[in-house]
Amino acid sequence: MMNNEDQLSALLREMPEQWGRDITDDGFTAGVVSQVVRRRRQRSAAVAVAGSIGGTVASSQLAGLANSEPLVQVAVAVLEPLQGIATPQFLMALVMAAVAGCVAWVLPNRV
Amino acid sequence: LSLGDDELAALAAANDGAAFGNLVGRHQGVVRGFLRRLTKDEMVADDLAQESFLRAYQKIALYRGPDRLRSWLLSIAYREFLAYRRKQKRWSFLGIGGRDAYEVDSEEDAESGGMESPRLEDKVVDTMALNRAMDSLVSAEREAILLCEVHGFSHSEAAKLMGAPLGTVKSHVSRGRKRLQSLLAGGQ
Repeated sequence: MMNNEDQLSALLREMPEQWGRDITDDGFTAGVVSQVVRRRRQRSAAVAVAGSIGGTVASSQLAGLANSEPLVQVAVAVLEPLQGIATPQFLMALVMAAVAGCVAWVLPNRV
Repeated sequence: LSLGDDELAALAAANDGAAFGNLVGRHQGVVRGFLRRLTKDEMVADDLAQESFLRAYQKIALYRGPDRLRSWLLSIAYREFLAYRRKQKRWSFLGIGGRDAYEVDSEEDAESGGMESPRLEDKVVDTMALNRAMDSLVSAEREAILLCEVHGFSHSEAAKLMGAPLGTVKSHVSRGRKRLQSLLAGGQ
C-alpha cells in the first residue's frame, strides 16, 4: 500500500495535468496570438520607419532593438514623425545646429 | 499528424504564428495553473501567463531542447512572477498595488480551520483541497514545492531560479512537504 509520502508526491505530480484539463481555453490562446501579431506589426513598422531614414539608423540595428518591447514603442513614437524628412542631411543639420547652439551658449559665459 | 513541442518551437522560431498558437494551446493550462498557485490571483496570473508566452515567442529561437519546452516556459513564467513581485514591493510603500497576494497569509488560513481536510490515506484528497493546502504554505515553500515537486525541476535548478542557496531550497521543499501532509491529513 502506498504510504503518505508517495501519495503526496503522486498528487503533486498530477497537478499540472489537472491544470491542463481544467484551465485551458481557446480564448486565452487567441489573446496571446493576437498580441504576437500586434507586436510583430509594431516591429515591422519600426523597421520600415528606420529604413525610410535613409540608413542613418540601420534597419538591422533597429530590428535588433525592436526585440525588446518597450524599445519598439519608443522607436515608433520617436521615428515615425521624422519619416520622410529625416534624411542623413537633415540629421546632420540637426547635429550642427545643436553644436552651434552649445557654442553660442558657452562662449558668452566664458568671456 | 501532430508535431512535438520541439518541432513546433522550431517552426515558431521561423515566424510560424500558427505553430506558436499550437504551443500556447498545449501548455497554457500548466503555465496558468502554476502562476495561479504562485500569485493566488487568477487575473494577475493570467496576465503574467500572457506576458510569459509573449516573452517566450520573442526568445523562442534561444530554446534548446530536446523535450524541455515545458520547463523552459515555466522558467520564463517564474521570472515574470518574480518581476511582478519586485514591482509590487517597490510600490507597496505608497499603498499602490494592493494586497501582497503572494506573501504569507497562510498561518491564519491554515489555523482558522478554513480548509477542509480530507484524510490522505482515504484517497479523497481532491484538487481543490490540494490547491488550498498549497495556498496555505509560506511563499518560499510554495515556490520550492511547485518547482521541484510539481514540475520536476532539480533542487539546483530551482535554487538558480529562486536565487537562493541549494540548502535553503532543500529545506523549503522538506518543510513544505511536511506542512502539506499535515494539512491534508487534517492536522495543523
